[in-house]
Amino acid sequence: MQTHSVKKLIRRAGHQVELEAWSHIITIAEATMSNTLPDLSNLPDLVLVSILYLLDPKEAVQTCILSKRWRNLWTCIPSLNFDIGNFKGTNDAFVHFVSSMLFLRASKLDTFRLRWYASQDEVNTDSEERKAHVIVANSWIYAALSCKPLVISLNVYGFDNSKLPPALFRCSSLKHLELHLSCRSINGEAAEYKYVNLPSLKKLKFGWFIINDPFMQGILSGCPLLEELELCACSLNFSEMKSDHLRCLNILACQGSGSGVVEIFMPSLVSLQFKNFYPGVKKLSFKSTPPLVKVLVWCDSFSVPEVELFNCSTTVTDLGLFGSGAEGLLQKIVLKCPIFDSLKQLTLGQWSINEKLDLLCQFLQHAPNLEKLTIIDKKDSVLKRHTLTGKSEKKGATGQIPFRCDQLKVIEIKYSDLTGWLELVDTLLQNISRRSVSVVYTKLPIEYI
Amino acid sequence: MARSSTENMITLMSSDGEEFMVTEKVARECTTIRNMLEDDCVITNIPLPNVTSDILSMVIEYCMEHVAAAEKAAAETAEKGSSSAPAAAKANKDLEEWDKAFMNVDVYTLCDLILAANYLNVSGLLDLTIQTAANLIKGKSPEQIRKTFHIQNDLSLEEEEKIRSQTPWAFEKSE
Repeated sequence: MQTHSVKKLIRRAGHQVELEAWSHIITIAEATMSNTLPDLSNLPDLVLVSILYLLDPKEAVQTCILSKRWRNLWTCIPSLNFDIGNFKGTNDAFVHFVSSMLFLRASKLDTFRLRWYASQDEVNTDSEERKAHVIVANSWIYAALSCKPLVISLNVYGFDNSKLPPALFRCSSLKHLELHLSCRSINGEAAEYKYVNLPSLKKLKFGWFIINDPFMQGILSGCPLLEELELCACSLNFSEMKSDHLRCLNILACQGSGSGVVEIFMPSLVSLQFKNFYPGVKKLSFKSTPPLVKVLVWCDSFSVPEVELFNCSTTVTDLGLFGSGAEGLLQKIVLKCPIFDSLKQLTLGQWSINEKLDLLCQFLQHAPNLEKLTIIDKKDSVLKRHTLTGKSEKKGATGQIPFRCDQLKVIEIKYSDLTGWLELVDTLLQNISRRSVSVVYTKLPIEYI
Repeated sequence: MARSSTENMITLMSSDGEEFMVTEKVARECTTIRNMLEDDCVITNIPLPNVTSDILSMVIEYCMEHVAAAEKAAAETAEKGSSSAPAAAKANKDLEEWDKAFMNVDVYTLCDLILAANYLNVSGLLDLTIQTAANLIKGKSPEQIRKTFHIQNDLSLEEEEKIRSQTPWAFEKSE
C-alpha cells in the first residue's frame, strides 16, 4: 500500500521532476503514509457492499472507477432494486442498465425487486412493443430465478397475468413473492399456472390478477408453508379457499363474479383485513370458525360487507372499522348482538363526530373487556361541524345507554378539529366506572385531513 | 448514569491500554461481547485490540444512550400498563435526533466507527454509520466521493477510461 502510493505520487509528479527531487518526494510521502488515516477503502468488502446496497443502483455501479479496490464491488450487491420511477434516463437506458447489472453479477442474489412501466400503450395489448417488453422482463425474471433468490417483487405495468414465466411458481428458494401487474386487459383470461410448487414460500401478494378456482387451489396446496396471502385489486373468480396453515389473509379492493360468495376453510387464520369489495362481490363465508385475533375492515357506505365474519367474535382482540361504511357495519354488528369478550382494542377510523353516540355505546355493551378505544376523526367532519355545535345537548341525551367497560384504560382521539370531541369523551367517561382512564388527543397530520 | 451496585461491571480495554468500566447491560449491546459473556460468564476484563480509546468511548456512549432509552420506554410501559403512542413516538424522535447529532463527525472517525461497529457487532450503530456513509456518497461525482472520503485513485487515466468504456450503461448521461 505504502510503496504503491509513493509510486503514484512520483507518477503524478510526472516527468518534469528532476531525478534528484525524487528522494525528497519519497521522504514526504513516507511521512504522510506513516500517519495513515483510515479511508473508506480499508473497510471489509461486506461492509462496503452494504453501503452500496443503500445507494441508487446506478450510483452503486459508478463507484467502480473510484479506485482498484472498488472496481468489482458492485457485482457483489446481494439485493437489487430497480425502479423506473427513480431512474434518471430513458426507458431504453433502463432496459440496458437492468440487463447489464443483472447479467454481469458475480455473487448470489437474495432479493430482486423490479418496478417498471413497460409500455404506455394501454389500448393495444398485442402491440409488438409490449410483446418485446414481456420478453425482456421475462429474461430478467429467469436470470433472477437462476440465482435462487429469497425475495422477488415485481411491479410491472401492462403485463398479462398469464404471461409470467411459469418457473416463478416453481422456485424452491423463494420465501416472499409479490406480483403486482398494475394493469389488466379488460377481457383478460384468468392466470393459469398448472404446477405450483413453492415449498419455502411464506408470504405471497397478488395485485391485478384474475384468479379462478384451479389457480387458487394450486396456490394454496402448492405452498405448504404459506402464512400470509394478500389479494389486491384482483378479480376473484373462485368460490373456495382452503388452507390449514394460512395465518393472515388480506383481500383489498377486489371484485368478483359468479355466485359472489367465497367459502373459506382456514382453521389457523388469525388476521383478516379487507377493504372495499366492488360490484359483483362478495361475501366471505367462514366454514370453520377461525381463531381470528385481528380484524381490520375498510368499507365505503355502498359496500358494507356481510357480517357473517363476526361469528368468530369470541377470539378477536383487535378490531378496526374504517371508511364511510364503518357506521353501517357497526350497525349490522350491533343488530346481530355477538359478544366480543376477548376484544381489547377497538379502532374506528374516519368516524364523524356526528355519528350516533348511542350506536357506539350499544357496541361497547358487547365488549366488556375493552382496554383501548381509538377514534379517528372523519375527513369531512370539519365541513359539517357548524351544523352540530348547537346540538351538543341532544347528543349528551342520546348517549345514556349504560355500558360497562371495566378494563378500559385508554381512549385515544385522533382529531382534525377538536370541537365537540371533549364533550363526546365526557359523555363516554360518565358511563365508565373505572377512574383511571387516560385520554389522549392527537392531532392528525395535515395530509390526512 | 447511576450504577446499581448489584449490576455486573465489565472492563473493556482499548488498543492503547485505556480501561472503560461499563455495566454488563451496556456491554451486551455489542453482540461480539455478548457472545463472549455467554460462553464464559466469569469474564470481567475484555481486551479489544482493534479499537482505540477515542472510538471505544464513542461506541460506549452510543450503547449507553440506547440502553437508557430502552429502559425508559420499558419503565413507562410498566407504569401505565400500556405505552401511549404519542409518548413513544416522541421518544423515538428524540433518539433519532440524538443519533443524528452523534453522526456529526469527520469521515476518518466515521470509518473508524464503522470498523468498530462491525467488529463489535453493534447492529444499530453499524446501520447508522453505514447509512451516514451512503448519504455522503449520494448525488456526488466520483471525484467528489474520492475527495470526501480521501480515497486515493490508483487507476491511471487510461484504466479509468477503459472501465468507463466497458460499462457504458452505468455512465450514460440522463437527458
